[in-house]
Amino acid sequence: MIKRTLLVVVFLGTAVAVVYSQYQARTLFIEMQQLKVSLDRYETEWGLLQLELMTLSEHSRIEDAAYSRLHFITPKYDDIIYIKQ
Amino acid sequence: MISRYQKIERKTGSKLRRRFLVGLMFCGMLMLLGKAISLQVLEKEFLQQQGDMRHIVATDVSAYRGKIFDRNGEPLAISTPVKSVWLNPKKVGDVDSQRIVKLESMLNIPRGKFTKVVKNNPGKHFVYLKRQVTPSVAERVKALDITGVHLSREFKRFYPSGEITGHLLGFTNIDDAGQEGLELAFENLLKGVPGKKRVMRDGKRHIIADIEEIRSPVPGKDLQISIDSRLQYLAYRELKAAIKSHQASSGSLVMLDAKTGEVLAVVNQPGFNPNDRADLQGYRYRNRAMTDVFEPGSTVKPFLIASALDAGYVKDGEVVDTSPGYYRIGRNVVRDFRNYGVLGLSDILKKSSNVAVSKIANKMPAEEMWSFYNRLGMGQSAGIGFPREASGILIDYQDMDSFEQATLSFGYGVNMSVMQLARAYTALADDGVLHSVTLFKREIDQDSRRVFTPKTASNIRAMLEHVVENDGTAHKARVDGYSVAGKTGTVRKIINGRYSKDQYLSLFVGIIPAKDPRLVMAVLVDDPKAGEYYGGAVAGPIFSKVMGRSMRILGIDPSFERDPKRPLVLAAQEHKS
Repeated sequence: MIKRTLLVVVFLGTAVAVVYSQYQARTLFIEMQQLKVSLDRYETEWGLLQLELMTLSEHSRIEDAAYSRLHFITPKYDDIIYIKQ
Repeated sequence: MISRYQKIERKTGSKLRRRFLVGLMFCGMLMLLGKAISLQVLEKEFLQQQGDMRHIVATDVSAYRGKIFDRNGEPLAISTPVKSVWLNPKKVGDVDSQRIVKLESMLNIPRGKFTKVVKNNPGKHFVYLKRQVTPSVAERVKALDITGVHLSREFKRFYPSGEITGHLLGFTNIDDAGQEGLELAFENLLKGVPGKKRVMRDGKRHIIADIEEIRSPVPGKDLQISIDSRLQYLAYRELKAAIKSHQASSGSLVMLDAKTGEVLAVVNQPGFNPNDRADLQGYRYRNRAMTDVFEPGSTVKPFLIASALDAGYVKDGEVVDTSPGYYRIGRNVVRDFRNYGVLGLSDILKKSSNVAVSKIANKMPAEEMWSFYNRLGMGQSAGIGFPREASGILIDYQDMDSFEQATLSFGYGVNMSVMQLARAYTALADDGVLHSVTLFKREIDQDSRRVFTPKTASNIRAMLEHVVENDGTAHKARVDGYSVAGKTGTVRKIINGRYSKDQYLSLFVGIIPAKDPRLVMAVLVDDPKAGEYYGGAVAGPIFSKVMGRSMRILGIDPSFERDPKRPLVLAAQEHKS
């Protein structure tokens, strides 16, 4: 009799546990999906920023800015001083 | 009596009950029928809609395609999520035309396309209206909220360096699958595996809740390649400028690390921008440096001299008489530009004498000469694994007569790609060791093999330094402060099976610094039409410009000490005064 009661209790316990873990899995999954959505947003933003960075840091643009706006020059070889260690 | 009375009463009672029961059942039936009619006929649409609203389906979860980075971690190809606009023609009802016009101008599609798409696809549930729109446009489309118009998530590939790395990276199609270049070569590595998840969808096919993950998506692997985007840019810019100023039809340039065989830059002209699909035409996106072959001409002469030295057919310090400027082999004649007289080995390369190399070649058994060429990778693919990579052709020694052997000594009868040519020069650059070439970053080359002795290789490099001297064929390839070993080539193009008289390939291959080689670069300019066509005049300056800056970018020590007579001024002092 005691054995049977115990079995019933254990059975009910596991059943509840299964339901609970299933519930938890879903909650976590939903949370994960939400995080994925934000990750997606960040990735999109990263892509856009990358594009912006690419336009701003384009070698030709930097070169143009250096020469024409900042009046940089490429030193002639004779003007370069190498310091030997 | 009582019993009889009772009997009658019971009889009537049972009759009543029966009627009552039958009536009840009939009512029940009517109710069921009514409900059935209401469900099947009256409320059908509403109920179906409600059902659609709570639809549980399994959908694909797209996986990220791997990114491509250069050797310093600069992104060269990245995928970003974008939205595509599609519509379900069956669900599109009467929408006020104002909103449609708004949508069309938002998506930048012609007026009336929306109605046309709906009309032309009456039986379909899914038609793309516009693919891969920017996130901001997607937001505005969503805000319009037109029934039957949906957004789906896709990836778009961006190439931040655009045309500069276009030929190398190739591109993907609209479904994010590699079509050319590295995108195609490493498709299996780059592409991810889409996952699956179970979701609840509403009637507008919007996902309203995620239920569970069936299989998680596996993102593609990132690739880090050996290219240095700074050198790549320099090379591209200089090649493009030169092709334009010489009115050439195309050109290629390959820069290799002399010690590891890594490809540091590989560029071509004409170019294309992989971010612009209108640019995608075969002649523009072909990576000529790897897929197209040509006869290398005089640029193979150093190999012939090196082979002859190593095999003992000529000795260091030996001279060859090239007068009277031509050399008869059977019924054929090999000619020089003019009569150079007696030439030492170094001068043979400096003057690029066909007669001298032919004479040396004819001292060697054909098989031995062939085997040197073969070991330098001629007639074999460079093994990069690039799509449609050329292997070139080297004629078999058994089919060679002595004239053909002579032509082989000055680079005809063999063809190769710019990549193969640059690779062959690593054998001279790294003291006789030929390197394998790779597009991946690496510290040491496990797959190198010795072709020449170290002494011969450095000997040849010393000779090639003279080519770049003031009176050499390639003085325009000089780089201030650095010793350069190089060889020019001016090759007649083959047009319809004949050597053209007015169309040339201008070539230059160089090693820098000649004393302690770090880089090898091969430049090819195809059909310069602006007057100059000698390799030294057309391709040489490209080498000089690209290498001068590359040396500074890579921080390679100059080869020459400063003129000791000039006073040493420290930069800080100079600044003060």
